[in-house]
Amino acid sequence: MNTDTAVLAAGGDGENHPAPLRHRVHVGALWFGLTGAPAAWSAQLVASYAFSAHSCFPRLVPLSVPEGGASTFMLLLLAGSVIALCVGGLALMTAVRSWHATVLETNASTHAALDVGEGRTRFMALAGIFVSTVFLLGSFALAVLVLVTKPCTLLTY
Amino acid sequence: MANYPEITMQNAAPNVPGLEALLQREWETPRGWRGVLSTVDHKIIGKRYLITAFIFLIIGGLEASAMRVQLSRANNHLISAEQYNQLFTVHGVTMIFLYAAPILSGFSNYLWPLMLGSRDMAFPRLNALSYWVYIGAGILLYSSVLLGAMPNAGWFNYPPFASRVYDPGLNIDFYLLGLTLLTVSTTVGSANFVVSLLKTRAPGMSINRLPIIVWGTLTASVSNLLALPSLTVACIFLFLDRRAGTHFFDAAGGGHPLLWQHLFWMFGHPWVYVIVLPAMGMVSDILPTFCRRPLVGYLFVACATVITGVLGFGVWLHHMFATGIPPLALSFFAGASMIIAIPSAVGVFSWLATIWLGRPRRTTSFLYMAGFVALFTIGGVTGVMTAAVPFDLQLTDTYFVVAHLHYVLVGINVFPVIGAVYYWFPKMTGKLMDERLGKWGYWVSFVGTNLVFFPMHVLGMMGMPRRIYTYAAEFGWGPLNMLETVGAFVFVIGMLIFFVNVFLSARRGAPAGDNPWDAPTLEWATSSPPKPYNFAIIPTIASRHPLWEDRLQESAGRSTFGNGLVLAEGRETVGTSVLDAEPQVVMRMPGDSYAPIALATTLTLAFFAMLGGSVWLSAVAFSGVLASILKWLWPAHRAGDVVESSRSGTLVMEGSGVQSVAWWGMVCVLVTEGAFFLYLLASYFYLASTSTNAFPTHGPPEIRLALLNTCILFASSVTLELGKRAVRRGNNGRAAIGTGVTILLGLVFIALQLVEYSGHAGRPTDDAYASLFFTITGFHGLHVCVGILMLVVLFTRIVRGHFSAKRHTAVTNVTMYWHFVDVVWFVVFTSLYLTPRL
Repeated sequence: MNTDTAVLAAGGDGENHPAPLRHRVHVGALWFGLTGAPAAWSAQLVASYAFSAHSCFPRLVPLSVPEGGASTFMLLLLAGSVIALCVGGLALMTAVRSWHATVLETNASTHAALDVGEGRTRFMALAGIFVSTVFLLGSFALAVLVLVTKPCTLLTY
Repeated sequence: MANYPEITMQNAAPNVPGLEALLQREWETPRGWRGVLSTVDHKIIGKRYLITAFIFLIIGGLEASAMRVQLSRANNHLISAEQYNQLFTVHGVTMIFLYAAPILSGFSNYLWPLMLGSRDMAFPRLNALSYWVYIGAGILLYSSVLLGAMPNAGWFNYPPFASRVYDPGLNIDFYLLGLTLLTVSTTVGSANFVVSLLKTRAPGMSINRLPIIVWGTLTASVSNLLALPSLTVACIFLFLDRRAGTHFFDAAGGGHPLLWQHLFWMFGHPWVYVIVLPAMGMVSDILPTFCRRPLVGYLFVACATVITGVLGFGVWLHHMFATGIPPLALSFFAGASMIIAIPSAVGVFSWLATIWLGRPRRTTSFLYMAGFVALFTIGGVTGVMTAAVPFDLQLTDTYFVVAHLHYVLVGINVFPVIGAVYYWFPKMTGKLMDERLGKWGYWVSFVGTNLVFFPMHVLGMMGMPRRIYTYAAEFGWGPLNMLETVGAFVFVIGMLIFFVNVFLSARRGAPAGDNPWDAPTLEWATSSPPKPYNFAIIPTIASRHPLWEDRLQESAGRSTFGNGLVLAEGRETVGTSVLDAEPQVVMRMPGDSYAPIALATTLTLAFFAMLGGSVWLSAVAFSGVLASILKWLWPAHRAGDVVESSRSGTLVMEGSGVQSVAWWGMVCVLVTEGAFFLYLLASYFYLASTSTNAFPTHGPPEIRLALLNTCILFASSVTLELGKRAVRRGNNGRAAIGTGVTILLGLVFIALQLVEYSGHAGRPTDDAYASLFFTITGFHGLHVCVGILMLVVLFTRIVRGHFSAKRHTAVTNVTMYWHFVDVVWFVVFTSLYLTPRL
């Protein structure tokens, strides 16, 4: 096999290419589907932690009610959670759309998609669905914690 | 260069006479000391990593055995309290830093190019550097034994206990410098793994066709690039506190001891996944071979690996549940810690389903993998338990936590590693290990592990604290401790059987053949042991199981091994695209070199000099470091000797931008450097939020000079960008002018920074604010100085005509670095000069 054949086998447009339907989905959409929800969750976690820790313990002074008032505190935390959920949801929707566009990339069976992993574009789209779902769950859990946990109660040992 | 005109990238038929001999000459490591000190062969480096890490495992095991003897009965005084402190600290440091991660690097170093269908790692000399610096760090840490001053504040080294006031000896300094040096090794190794994966896969090996161990090591490597700077920052801060009188962790000076815990665990928890994810990848790749079927749910397991790595960054606070942080803040991290159970469970169910649906062959390697699943489940379940804040508050700092972490580390690291040795030993040596002895070793180890670690759960719930060197008989902990000690020695016997088996099999093991397990992945397509060049012809890949394609029928195409790219004009391999592994460039690989060991040696000496507190010796050693780097980076060829393109007409030589491995290497450097500054600035805002004094102490810093400096630095980015564009047009004259002006502007920036320092209201040792201000701006200034040095080298090379319109990777990379330094300054300026005015 000469160079051109090798290039064709791995980089051409034929069915031997690992991602024959790659032109159907923009690569940016694939990456957003994969990274949008984790990024949103990470930002939500760090911001929620920093805000809640500082509001209850500003400059090493423990408070029983958050600085600025309990309702404002909760509203801001929930607003952050809603933004994270929206970004994560958008990422999930993007991943689902990418998957619909590439579902027939190689073999259409569930086995081929999940166990074998053939079809690089479809693989990334499906991975995006799985990753987004887990991190959406994470964002949802953080939002619920804001509602059910007393923010500034001091722990006693 | 050997003359082999017919075989470059043209129509290579299999078994071309002379090809293998030619490649052998090009890639073979010379015999004798020259080869020992200069080799860059990934297989040799990988084996060295494995042997060295196993030596550290033995040392750490001896330390653990001594501790178990001490604790076997109540009121025992075989070891003093101080000796015990040193033993448990060095045991932890050895196992976690010198064994658990390097052993996995050893496997990955050996296996990656074979699994990916390449001839070496992307940066072979960095690979050697990583190993030699690892050795240097190990020597530095263990030289503390000679002075009787081993680290003694636990492997997490919390201040204020680790501060100079309470620990005035060299013990902690050995720890801080040793770990900082080790981060250099791990960082360059991680960057090498990332770039090797992205750029050196065989044609056709798209990202959906990777073995899971590759996903595991990739996730671990990216985690390292992002997390290790946190440890570096923590170690630098504490070293400065101890040696220079700064106040980062000194509450009286406006610092906070919890800052160390934040920084340490921001690194520490991702590190837990660094030392388990590649091992879990081994299980995912080895089990299918012995179950004679593909892994169930490949996509889920690959995703679960990456998800675990990402979640690992969001759980650091669960190590700090008992530090008095408000409960809502804790609950976020409790939630995140519990969610990690999801990807972990995905892995467990996938392995169980693979065993259930397969036809398992109960080899020794299979047994170790199955044992791992059991131990991982126990360690995982206790992890979820301690993720619950109330539960953790009761059991924190008890033996329950010791039980949990040992089930995780022994179960998820040691067991898969030993199983992996049984699996890949035939590939590495061409010989099989003794199965009968292996099974004896497995069962003894498995029983010993559970005997030593399971009773610790009970002892923890009975209230036995960690890190005590003895205990009173009335507590009733004696019988279980004796049981644990017996278990420890049973485990030691199991490990001895393993080492004896390795030794005997290496001498007189049965011949293995190329693929003794009938395994599906690419490394088994080569000879056992592999030739120095790995593949005479670069394979073309058509599925995830290249050696099982006929029986699985997973894809329409077939992988090819005897027909493809030859690349025999020197040390060459193919560079491919990131997602689909489409061939893009021919990579010219560096040969054996003394530069890595020279750099590692000078760097280690510099750290020893810092330990001794000798400024002059440090300066001399760092000059040696600088000289080694310059020698390393200076090109071996003048411009006229550089090949501009290959004769294939299809692939270019080296390439530039995203096609070039150097570009990706620089991206890795910038990612890890960016993380470094992020941790510095996070420390600033953390101490600002906890400080009870005015912060900044004397009001916001003077802004006019800083503003002027900002303009100067931005202007320098413009001039360098113009210079880069001139190189791209082939106009070296203008490029030299652009680079020269940039150097001048950089020098002006440094001069103005020094002027600002001289007029600053505080000194670095005044309080925590001043310590942070000078450290953050100082590190940025250091980066500017490094940038200026790079620009001087670049300027010299431009003047000497080293670059052309087609070849200018170094120019692109230095420009990227300089822009990065600008962006960092903008963030530093906003944080330090503008936010205090808000």
